[in-house]
Amino acid sequence: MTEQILQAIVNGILIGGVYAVLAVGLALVFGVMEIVNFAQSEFVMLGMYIAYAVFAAVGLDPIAAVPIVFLAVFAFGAAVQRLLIQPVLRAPMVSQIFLTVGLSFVLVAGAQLLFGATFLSVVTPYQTAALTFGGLQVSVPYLLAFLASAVMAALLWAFLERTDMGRAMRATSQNRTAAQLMGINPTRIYMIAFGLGTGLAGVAGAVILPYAYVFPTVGHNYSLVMFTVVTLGGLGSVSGAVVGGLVVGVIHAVSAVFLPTQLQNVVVFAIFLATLLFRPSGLLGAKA
Amino acid sequence: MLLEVSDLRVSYGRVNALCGVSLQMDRHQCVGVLGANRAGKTTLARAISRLVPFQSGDIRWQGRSTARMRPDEVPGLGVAHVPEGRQIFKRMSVEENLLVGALTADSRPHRAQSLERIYALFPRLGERKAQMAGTLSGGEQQMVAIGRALMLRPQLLILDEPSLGLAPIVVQEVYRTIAAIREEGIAILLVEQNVALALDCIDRGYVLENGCVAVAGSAAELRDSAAVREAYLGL
Amino acid sequence: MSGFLRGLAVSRAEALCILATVLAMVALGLLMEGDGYNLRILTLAVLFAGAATAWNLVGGFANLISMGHAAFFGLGAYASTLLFIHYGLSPWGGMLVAGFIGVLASLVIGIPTMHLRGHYYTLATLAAVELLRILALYFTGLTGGPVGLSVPYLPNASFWAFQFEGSRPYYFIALGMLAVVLAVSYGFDRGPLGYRLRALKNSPEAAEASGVDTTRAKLIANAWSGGLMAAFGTLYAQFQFFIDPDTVFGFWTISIKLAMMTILGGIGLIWGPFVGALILVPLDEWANATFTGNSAALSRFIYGALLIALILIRPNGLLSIVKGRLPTARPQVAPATAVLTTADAAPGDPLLVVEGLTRQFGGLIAVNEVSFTLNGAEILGLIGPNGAGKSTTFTLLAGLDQPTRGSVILEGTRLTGLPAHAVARLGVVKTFQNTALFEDMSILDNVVVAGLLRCPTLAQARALGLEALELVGLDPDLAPTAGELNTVDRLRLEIARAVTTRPKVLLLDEAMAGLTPQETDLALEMIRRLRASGMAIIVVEHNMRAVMAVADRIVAMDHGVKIAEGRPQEVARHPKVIESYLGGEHRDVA
Repeated sequence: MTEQILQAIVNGILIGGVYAVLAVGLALVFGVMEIVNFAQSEFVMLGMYIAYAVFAAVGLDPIAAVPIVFLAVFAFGAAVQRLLIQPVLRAPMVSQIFLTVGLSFVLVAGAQLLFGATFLSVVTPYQTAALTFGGLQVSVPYLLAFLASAVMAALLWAFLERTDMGRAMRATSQNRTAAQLMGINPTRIYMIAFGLGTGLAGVAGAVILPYAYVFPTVGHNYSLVMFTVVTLGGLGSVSGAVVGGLVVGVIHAVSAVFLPTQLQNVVVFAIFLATLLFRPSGLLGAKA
Repeated sequence: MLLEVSDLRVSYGRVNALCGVSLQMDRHQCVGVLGANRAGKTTLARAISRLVPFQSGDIRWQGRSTARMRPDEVPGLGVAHVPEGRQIFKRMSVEENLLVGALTADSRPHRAQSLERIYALFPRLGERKAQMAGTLSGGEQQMVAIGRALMLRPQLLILDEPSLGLAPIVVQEVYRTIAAIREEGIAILLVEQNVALALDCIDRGYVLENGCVAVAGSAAELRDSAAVREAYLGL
Repeated sequence: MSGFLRGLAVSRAEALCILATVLAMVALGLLMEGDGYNLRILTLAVLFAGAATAWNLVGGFANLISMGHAAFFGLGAYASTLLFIHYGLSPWGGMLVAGFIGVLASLVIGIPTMHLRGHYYTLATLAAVELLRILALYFTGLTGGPVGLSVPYLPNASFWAFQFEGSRPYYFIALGMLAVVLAVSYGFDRGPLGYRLRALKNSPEAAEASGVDTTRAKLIANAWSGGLMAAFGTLYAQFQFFIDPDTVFGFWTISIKLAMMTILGGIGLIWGPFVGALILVPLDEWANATFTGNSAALSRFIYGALLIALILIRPNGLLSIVKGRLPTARPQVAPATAVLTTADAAPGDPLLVVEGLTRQFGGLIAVNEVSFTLNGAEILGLIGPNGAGKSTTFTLLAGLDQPTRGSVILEGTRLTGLPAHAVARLGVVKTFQNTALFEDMSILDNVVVAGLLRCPTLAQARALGLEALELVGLDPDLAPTAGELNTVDRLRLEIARAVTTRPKVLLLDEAMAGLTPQETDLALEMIRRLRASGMAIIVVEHNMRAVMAVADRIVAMDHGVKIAEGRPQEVARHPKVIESYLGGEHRDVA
């Protein structure tokens, strides 16, 4: 039993790292422009398909294709922001929510029209490989996905903390007017932030492709997990999303030891609701 | 002429906030915009920074109209604005706040020197450069706001209610700093509701009432004006 | 008849439109083939129109963007079906039980989530319905799980079993239910609750301060919505003969669809969801029939693209074109007969006692051990420089925030700990420093909301409001909405709204800031009139001249502490006061 739980914790951390990158983009977008992107999980799907297409065309491993996927999804996300999101930034919340819901419809249906509804996957040499430490097994594709996620999270941190653009982005999220008075163009920042947020979701999609199938509605599997993670970490808090991702990953995996698979998500939602009800600003409470 | 505001009208919906305000200022001058709360002072400052649109009139910077500019293009002209209520970036360190102040093409290359200069002007900020700005006292936050604006190396500094909510002793410190900035040759547009305080430091002033200029003149003229004495100095 | 319509605030033109719509819908039901495909689709459209109208009660009127309404729909569908299968309860009875369960569920979900704002509420409702869906999928013994549940078909179709030949009976049942939920919508829109919800939508804080129990208003809206939604779930199960968790608890199949219909027609408009459903449901069915296999995705693609286009081009929905074109009914005014209490305290006796009031925000003590007493029919000035803690004190007195320590007692009743609407009911009301009007509402409606605190009917509340508007000298027809008033008139309306609640104690927060000397004199005159009508008043003011002229006594604050108290001239000469205003160096100026 103890071994089972330890194993679950290890798996949970590995998956949680991916959840973190999934959710960090959502948190970034909310933090900068107070929009909850209900289509965020479709950008995961988009990233998976792009990585799949690259693999199918030139045989490049999805992990190695991360830069390509990031740039492609970033560009697409930035364009979506400029054309669709920017016009509703000052609109009532209901317009913002349903605009992203409409976007989600379009992306899922678009993927189905392009790729069909079939489940696709890639074949990698390390697909079934695993490392063994004592009694613990570490699956290689999970480990690679985790490491790639960790690198992305570190790069994001460096961008936000160490570059002028990153500082400008944080400044805009904290006080838009004051940022404008510093010569920062918020429209440009919003575009880049949305591109980054969606690009990160795309990366998460690419890194899980070695162990997950891609199909048009694959994003729905991740959307509620993603909302749980950002709520747990505090909507809009980037560091909170990272911690939240790891926590949810571990809870998810450990609860699977005790509960039937179908009920795995019940625990996650219970945590989600409890957080909303008792600590709506998140466990870390960065931004209420 | 450094800055010329002519017949500026601003309205929010049907509500008139400014009813044709004109104002001029030259290089190295310190000009006050005075009056009670809601008289339109902040609206005027925000219009100059292009944060609020205006319906008619014009704003000219060194002869050039800024009517079509976005707010984020104004700092590039050399106009820095310390907004009402300080509006610092609370969850960034003091130094990061200052660095964000020097993002324009003209100011960025000089930002190391600018930092040194700000820390010399406000030694307290130097001691606390790694501290989160939101955890500073009100007076220190005002210093961050002013320092951040100075990082731009501006020709004109707009100060909106720099004394707001500060203890008297801190207010005096802020005003000493304003005097020091003047000495450096930076023009200052001072928005202040505490008329008595402002009169000591301005060359000329405009008193706004209900969005219109009620009285304008040199500091001495304002001090002698019966209307100003009765309405704002409590005499 | 016309009197009845006026009572509902329905104009003759609007009544004619409604009548025409009803006749058209009935005619459609009679003319279409009874067992044909078209009537079946129309029945579904009417069913979803009703459900979307129920969603609109919360999403439109109460501005709570729920993504969890499939929870009520699914509970209604399962409750009636399971009762029918296991206990032989007629689905008509099942619908009643479902409605009851819907109301109950709305409270279970609503009570803990009502304090959540904006996106947090939306996410919470989303999680709630997902939780239900997963549980319904898991407990296969009860719900049939993913396989679903069929309503047993009784060959001898009977009214009792809610089973009929063809679609026509279902169509008229759906139409009847739609009529009920539309009637509820009219009640919301035109009745007191509608005024309260609109006020809440504009400014929750000002609504509370005007005596609106905002939590209660939202819960009532939620309960109606949940109960009706569950009834439509029952109808859906009976009409389709089959339910499964992924459909009836579905995020995409129900929750999103209802909201989309409402947005298409016009969110917050009575007929919006109806128009939206009548367009969207047939379109959906047509697309599903036309595009099959992989091209089925094409219909979803167009669906999403249309939704995006709609939000970008016409965010207020199709019906917003006609909104405001129909003449509105003339509002009724009736004398306010409700018992309007006045202060018991005689002039000069203590009315409001503030003791040791303290409010700490983290490390900052905004108000520090402040004590003072307000006497009956007295005007008390509260002065101090910016940041002295005056506004925080007002917020505490009005119940909009709770003190860390200390108490506020009105004629022996402790106000501390009570919510703002309860404090307003007891008689302490504040105005907002930068005015917090209900911007989208008319001048009269702004005060009507406040009048509802003392009067049971809108007509009486109007009388009370008109009286207050006259007192402050504001013409109710000056502008179509409060948002279009100028600064001076905004201040007038702000005061009128507070006066309409018939307070014993009126707290005026910088009601004269930004006024010219002449306007200030008029305002002072008005404040004296208010006092003459029996109110005690506290004014927070920057304009020293104005305070000196109007106040009987003055309390001066600085840095959260009371530094002086007494007659105006005494306080003005108090050295601490002079220092706090002008700073040490400037003492000579004053």
